[in-house]
Amino acid sequence: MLSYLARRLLTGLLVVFGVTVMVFGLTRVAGDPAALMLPPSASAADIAAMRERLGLDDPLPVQYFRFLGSAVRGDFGKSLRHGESALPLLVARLPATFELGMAAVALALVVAIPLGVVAALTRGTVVDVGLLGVAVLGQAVPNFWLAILLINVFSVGLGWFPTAGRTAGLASLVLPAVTTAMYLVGTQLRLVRGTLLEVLNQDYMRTARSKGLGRTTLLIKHGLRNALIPVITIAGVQLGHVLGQAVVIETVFQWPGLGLFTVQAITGRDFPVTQAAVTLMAVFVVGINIIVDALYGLLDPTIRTA
Amino acid sequence: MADDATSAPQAARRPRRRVGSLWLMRGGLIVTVAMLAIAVFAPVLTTASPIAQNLMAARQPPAWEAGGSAGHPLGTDYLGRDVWSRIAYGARTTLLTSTAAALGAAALGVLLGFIAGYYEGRIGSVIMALVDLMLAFPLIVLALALVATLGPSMQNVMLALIVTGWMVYARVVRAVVLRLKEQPFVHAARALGASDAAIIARHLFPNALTVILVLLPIEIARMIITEASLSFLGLGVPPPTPSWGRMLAENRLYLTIDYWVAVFPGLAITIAVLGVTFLGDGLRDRLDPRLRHLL
Repeated sequence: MLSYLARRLLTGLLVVFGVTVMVFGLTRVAGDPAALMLPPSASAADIAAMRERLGLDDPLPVQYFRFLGSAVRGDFGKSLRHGESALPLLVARLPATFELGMAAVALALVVAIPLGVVAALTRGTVVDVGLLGVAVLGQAVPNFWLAILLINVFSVGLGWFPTAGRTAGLASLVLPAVTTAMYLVGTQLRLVRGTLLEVLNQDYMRTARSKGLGRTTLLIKHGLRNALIPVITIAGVQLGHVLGQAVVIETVFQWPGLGLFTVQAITGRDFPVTQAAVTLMAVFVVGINIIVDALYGLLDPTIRTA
Repeated sequence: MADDATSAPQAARRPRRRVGSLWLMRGGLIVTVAMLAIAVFAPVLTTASPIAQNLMAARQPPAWEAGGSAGHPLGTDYLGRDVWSRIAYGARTTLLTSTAAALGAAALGVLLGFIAGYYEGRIGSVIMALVDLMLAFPLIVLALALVATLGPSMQNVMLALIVTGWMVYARVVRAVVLRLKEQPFVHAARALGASDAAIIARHLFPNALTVILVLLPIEIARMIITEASLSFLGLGVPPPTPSWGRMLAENRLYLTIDYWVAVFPGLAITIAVLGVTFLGDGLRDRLDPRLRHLL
């Protein structure tokens, strides 16, 4: 288990290293960073001075390792828009995004597990097909459109929740979390259904049934417990997906999290913040994947050697 | 699934065809063909220009509402542009970008998948490491950043979709090639002196084609949503080209007042995604039901 984890950590580190190369490359594709950082009215001499100051005349590998050296110390430079160090600005937005992500994943699990069980137990019936249909729909509806519809009905129409922002406590969280969860439910529901159907056909289930165990005990103790292992791992992976979703959802709801801030940085060509945000997100995804793998190894001993 | 013959509760495990799968596939086909027809025949199917503004006719409701007119069946937006016309012409943008990007991503991914599978070794590891690397990014953020740095244009949107969309093909094709290349018929071909290129082109590619065909609609559906999201965030295909995602973004201030500018573009995206998805699911069930576990 330990060597397995060590290997995962090592590959994770390599991936993060690759991420920094790509992030560095991305801003070099954009054109001259010096020209970007100065107002359009800047003279050629100003730009040259800025290039000199930023070290942009050095060979690219030198520039990259300077970037990497600062990045590992958390220094991505100052935001062009806010004039403050980029990383702390992003870190300040993290709690809002975590709140949204956790709420969405938890909500999705609470909805998807019972519905997945129902779908599995009623396989092939109208109920099952209906539930699968809802799952497909949840992924076909673009999340920003669902958000708009929900705002129209529940905020503007019924006045139950605020239309945007994060100032009304729990009431602000409901619509963004529901919108995000809607997408996650589809994947989870299908997974619960699929794995439960697989588990129900296992030999040990037949043994348990022939021992005379009740239907409920059988389902929960032997069925669900095994079927939920992949579901938990997917829920972990989905936390990473939520970061991508957050970019869109936070924009619709003006939710002051990492996603909204990143979109603003990208559209405002604030490249130190963009670099920091993309790196931060990738580090999260890699970290989450490692934790999920470790969890998987703990829950299911058979994969540790794989 | 291949070892099913030896396991006892066989009947229960055999992949059952989903109820109504054939009907869903037909429905998906009809919707997809209809979308294509709308995109191709947009000039015939619409009376108003998709980009002409007319402030005198701004914010008209759909034709069936009081105050609506037959000239604007789905109403007009805040600049007086015809919503139906923008949706019809927007179908061109959506279908073109998503299909071209899915094909481009497929070409790139399939190529890299073949290389990674056929020549395992170092180059294979490098490609698979690149796949892992790409999957570490929230892809929409990467696509956004790419379009922002390269500048918004239809080509750059497609490029961003391709760069963030080839990994699934590479993974799946590599898996197929790894399995296939140890098959007797491939060994036989090699023993007969066939070159690598000939083996790949004549023996491996046709066998991998099913997987690619099944993946394509799934990926087109995903690309439709991603393109719409990029447009919604302001970094999609630039104006004046009509795009479903941007229709929602442009009318942001009126979405809660004029329901028609909020409902119809989103409905168009949803119907398009559903149509392509059902078509893809049906194709998969018909071509190779075993893939359900893979995809």
